[in-house]
Amino acid sequence: MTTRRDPDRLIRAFLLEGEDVLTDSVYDAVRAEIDQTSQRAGFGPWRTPTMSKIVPIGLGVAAVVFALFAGAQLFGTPTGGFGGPPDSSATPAASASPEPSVERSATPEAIEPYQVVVSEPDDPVQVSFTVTSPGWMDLPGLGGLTKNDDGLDPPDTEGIAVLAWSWPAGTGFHVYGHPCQWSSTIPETPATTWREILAGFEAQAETEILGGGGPPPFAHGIDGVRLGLQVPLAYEVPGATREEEFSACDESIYAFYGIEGGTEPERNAQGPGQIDELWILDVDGRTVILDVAYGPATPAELIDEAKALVESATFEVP
Amino acid sequence: MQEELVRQAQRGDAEAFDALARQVGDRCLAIAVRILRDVDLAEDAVQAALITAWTELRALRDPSRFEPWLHRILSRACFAEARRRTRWYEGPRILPVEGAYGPDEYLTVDDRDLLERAFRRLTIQQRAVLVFHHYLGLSISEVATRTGIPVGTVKSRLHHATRALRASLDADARASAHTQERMA
Repeated sequence: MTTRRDPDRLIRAFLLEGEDVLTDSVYDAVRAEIDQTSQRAGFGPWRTPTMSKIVPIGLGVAAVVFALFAGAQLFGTPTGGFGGPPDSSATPAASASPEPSVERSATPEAIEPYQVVVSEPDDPVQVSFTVTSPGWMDLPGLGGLTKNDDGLDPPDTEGIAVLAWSWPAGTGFHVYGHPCQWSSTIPETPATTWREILAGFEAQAETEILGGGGPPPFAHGIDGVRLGLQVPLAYEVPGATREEEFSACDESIYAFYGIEGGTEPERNAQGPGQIDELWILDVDGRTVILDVAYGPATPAELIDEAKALVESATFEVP
Repeated sequence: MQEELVRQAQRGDAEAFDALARQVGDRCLAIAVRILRDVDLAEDAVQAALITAWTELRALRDPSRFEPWLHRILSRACFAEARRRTRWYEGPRILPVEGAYGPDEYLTVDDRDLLERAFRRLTIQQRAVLVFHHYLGLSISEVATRTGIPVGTVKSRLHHATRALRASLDADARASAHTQERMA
């Protein structure tokens, strides 16, 4: 007579057996790789995971002190030079020697307009904004500014971000056929001009283009297009995480576009209802995308502030 | 401590990430080995997962959730390794049993061989669910979080995988009983 044994216990015992020490060679290989690899910056717009709710307050205080000093040192007293459309040929004063991100983070209560370079030093195009209202914070490493970061994702956030990204001439963009099934809808031919990128968004499933197709409102002759995209609110699951809301999507990611040669999307959505107003520009053959990202709960006056920032942009090709 | 290392690494501190990796590396290897049933493949998967974690770390919103977040990346890395390597489809290779737990006396050599063969017949996704649930002792919802699949899918995969393993054990038990009856 045989004694029947507990199969679940057998399975657990089986799974407990095996190697459980990672060799030093793997740690060494990882270390060598990360020393050569930059962290991705293009994932979250207004969410800055490195900044707790306390840190921005500290930065704000530091920035007040800095701005009182630097405002006089770098820009002096405004003489009316910030009133009209920025001149793309002008070299931003701050771009010659970009200040550390903390020092160009926020603005004092009594704001005097100042110009800030948001690009990283090795970006193909250096983008500057003129800040004319208080409360804007730098997004270190992300290439942009944010205001009212409340720690929430769309559709709940009332915050906003203004992002400025650029790519070398000839870069191919994969505007996915479907943002949810992005990995299986990569177009065969990448888009390399703003017109081709626009055509990709127009053909993109689920993407609602808001007021699209218009020329960018730049007075200095930069070619491009302005359009708005919105993630469908149908993905909203109250109380769920971003990954849960997009769990039906490839790798739980809802993505608008990627870059040729990249294995991951370049621009992911942070939540249902997210609106991205894009200025897709050709700056001396390089593609620049200015992205105002916010949610349906973001106040209209804040959106207007962000658009004013975009319209103040100047561009410098190193 | 781990949360502070995560925050430092999110600011681009490679030293902090190295320290973080050494805190979680052994557990990652243990998971990957049990899913992939191959130490070399598991090391490759862990290496890929850690590098991905470094590049994507700024997307992690809650530093206290670093390890679950890493495990999701790891499970994807295991799936990718399984797809990439044809040698994964080669014949069974019995894992070395030395480790922190050592061989369990409840398991006979026959049990081990039987389960190894049955386990290898499961899909890589079914294995991942079994490992997260039975090896790490996670709840169904936590398994869903760490593998990035819906709870219902976890339940389904767990059910089918467990049934397959039980079926192979039952078949062996029946065969043994039949042999004993014939010899009696």
